[in-house]
Amino acid sequence: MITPELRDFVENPDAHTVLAPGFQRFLAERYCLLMGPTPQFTSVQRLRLRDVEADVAEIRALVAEHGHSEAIWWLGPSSEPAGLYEQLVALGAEQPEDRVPALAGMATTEPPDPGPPEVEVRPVTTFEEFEQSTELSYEAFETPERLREIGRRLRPERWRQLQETPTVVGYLAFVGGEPAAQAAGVFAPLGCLLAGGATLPWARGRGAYRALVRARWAEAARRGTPALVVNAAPSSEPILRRLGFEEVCRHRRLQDPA
Amino acid sequence: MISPELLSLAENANTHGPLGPGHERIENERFVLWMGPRDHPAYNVAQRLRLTPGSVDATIEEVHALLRERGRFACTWEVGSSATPPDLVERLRAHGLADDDDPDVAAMVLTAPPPPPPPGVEARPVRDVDEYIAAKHVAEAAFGMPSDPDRVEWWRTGFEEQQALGHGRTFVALLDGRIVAHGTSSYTEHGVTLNGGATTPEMRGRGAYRALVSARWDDAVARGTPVLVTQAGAMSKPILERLGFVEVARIWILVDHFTSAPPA
Repeated sequence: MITPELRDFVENPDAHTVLAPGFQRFLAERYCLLMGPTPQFTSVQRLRLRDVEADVAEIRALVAEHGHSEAIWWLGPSSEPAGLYEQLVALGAEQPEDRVPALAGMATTEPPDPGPPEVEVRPVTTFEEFEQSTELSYEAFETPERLREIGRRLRPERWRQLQETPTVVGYLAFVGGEPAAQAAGVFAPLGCLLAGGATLPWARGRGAYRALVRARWAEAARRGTPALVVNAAPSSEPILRRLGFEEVCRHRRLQDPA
Repeated sequence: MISPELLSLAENANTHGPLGPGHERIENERFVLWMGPRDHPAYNVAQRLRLTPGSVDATIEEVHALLRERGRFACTWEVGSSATPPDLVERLRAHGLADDDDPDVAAMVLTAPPPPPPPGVEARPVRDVDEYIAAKHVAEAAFGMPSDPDRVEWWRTGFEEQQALGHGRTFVALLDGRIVAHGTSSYTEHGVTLNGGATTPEMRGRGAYRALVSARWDDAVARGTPVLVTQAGAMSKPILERLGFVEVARIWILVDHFTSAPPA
């Protein structure tokens, strides 16, 4: 059953996750600003703006003050005021660089189908596996070179932080013994937020994605929070529906060029 | 067994509680700064402190700057058992922070049903705004809080917000039909935090406090989070222990008044 709390988790995950090392969160009535370990890891959610121009200026100042940039603004059904998307565009926000302007917020509280037995999923436990996992995701997502370089530079520090963060677990899926897909689970009090979910082209259609979803369900259930939530790109929506996820909301995303 | 999440809730309640209107919470690796609706130490709390000897000075300045930006000039620092560095209390005192009147509190957790309330005491959530206001008068008198001329209007708003948001409830205990005790519950994913337990002085010793705990336990069970968490001072700790609460951490509370201008 999708409770109102779970619905809010789907729409505004940043307001619910347990803060990991390297992150900073400003949570107020009007917004939730999350700044992660890289300057570009900046997102604004749960928008309840009153004076849009002033509030946007306040958020932009906070972002700049912390050396961050390129904030992604997430707009969901409960964002306020009406017409906020257009107002943000008028204030200079643009289509995101990752070319994902909209996402489907989805959730399930039922166990998804297990993946095929020939796919092996293991949590990432060494720096080498972490390196393998991030490079795999760059390739699968066609991450711009500029962002790959930043990620590589910060990788050792990010690994150190992840080791101190029991609420974030990376996973690698192996097909025929070869690394084929990667994903992460962000385990929060209300359930697990699915992150990542990248499969190399040669391995697509062989069940790696399904196996990764199931592994995270198993861990969420083990932690006593049997729910999965995800903000799904259009390419992932069909498979998630087949796995039992239901759509909770639609997000629109904008990126601040500042 | 107390999970890390429950321990954190007990030690850092403001880090996990729901945010009401006008509230704000800033979280990072070193601290959580919760800001409630007013410029008063009780409504501006720095907690979950994970500092190093080298970061204490800068963090104090950072917290002051964040509060100054919002027109606030006082806060409370809650140094829990998990806070670092180990001598943080001394380091904060060296910066001029003063111990609270009742500085040493126990973070306590109840995970099993408390004893039933004594007969003759009725405890339940308030039914309307009038009961809410009557309960706040009891709390105000019991805590010796200064009387604010706008308080009744403030309480009316508080009642409306509580009803609308569903983040928590205010409970009363009644003896012979009269409201004699007040307590609140705040709902979190890990359990229910209890605050504001207060009984009219001449009615103490008749089970009102116990009845309030019992009613809030029943409410927590009904919500599917059968855990109560509270911070206990010297007066309430023995009663809570008799009700089955277990101490899981200690918190040392310091009060910090600072000036409107940063140091030169």
